[in-house]
Amino acid sequence: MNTPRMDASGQDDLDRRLRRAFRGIDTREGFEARLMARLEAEAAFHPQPDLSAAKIRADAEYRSARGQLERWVKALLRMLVLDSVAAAAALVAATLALLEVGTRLSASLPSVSGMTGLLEIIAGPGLVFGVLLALSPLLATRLTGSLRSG
Amino acid sequence: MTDTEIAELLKAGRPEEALARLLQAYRRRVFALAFSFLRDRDAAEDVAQEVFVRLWRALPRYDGRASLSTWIYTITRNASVSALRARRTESSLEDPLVLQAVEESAAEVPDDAAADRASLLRLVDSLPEKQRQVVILFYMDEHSHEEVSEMLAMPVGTVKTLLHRARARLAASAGVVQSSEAI
Repeated sequence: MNTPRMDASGQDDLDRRLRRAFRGIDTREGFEARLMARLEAEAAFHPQPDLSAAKIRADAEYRSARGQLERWVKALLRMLVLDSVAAAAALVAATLALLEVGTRLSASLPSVSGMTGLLEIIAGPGLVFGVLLALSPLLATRLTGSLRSG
Repeated sequence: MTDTEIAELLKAGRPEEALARLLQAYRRRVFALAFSFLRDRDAAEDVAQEVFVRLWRALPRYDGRASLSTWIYTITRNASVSALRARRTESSLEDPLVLQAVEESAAEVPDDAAADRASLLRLVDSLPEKQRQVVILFYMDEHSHEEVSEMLAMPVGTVKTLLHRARARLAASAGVVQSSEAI
């Protein structure tokens, strides 16, 4: 492509003339006042930005608080799962061991056979409590799920 | 003024102050960018108003992460293109309003200088679109190559090339060419 070339003084002269040519092309006086009037008119149809900003801040705070609560519940759940499984297993094992000991004792020592009924009374609720304890993480998960959906 | 300052003003619940700062920093630039598309002072001013109205509506969502200038220039380009499409007739720098503005600002200069300005504007008007836009933005407020590049969302190298070609054309037409050479 052929491009005309000029010397530095010609370039300076052209630059000066172009700057001068565009001088004075600007918005009319009162641009900002007209804009403010338009924004005031807009306010009738759109929510006030300061109110929107307050709502956005409140939403952000709510999300942050909820996130914190969820993190706390998750951490608690992790602990609860391990603890409850261990406790339930120990309780069931202890109950079964107690029943076994009771059965053997009553077989070899007829004089303590009256205690076997007592052991069975203790072992029944112990087993039920152990099962409930083992199920507690499941219940807690459901509770967290309803918290999230709420 | 930085984007972070604007974000902090908004966070502090002072959107009016944020808008005032933006107007101070960008009014001329937005107008110049719109004018480079539309070549009509009234239409460019309408677009500038529209840009600041859109900005005002969107400001509450601004968190300081995106570049404000990029955002403002994008809104301006889009609004200018929409305004251009909506117009039935092509306007030009020979628009009576533009010439009137030039004449008003040239009231104290001799007639031959005013004639020179009018003829230069006509020459700029005859340039290809992109060259014309670069020339208008570069000379209207003496923006740097980098600023023009950001305003038009084109590489700095392209801006320099377009400006070089436009200057050469204008120089040839304006009678300041010293020699010609193939590049």
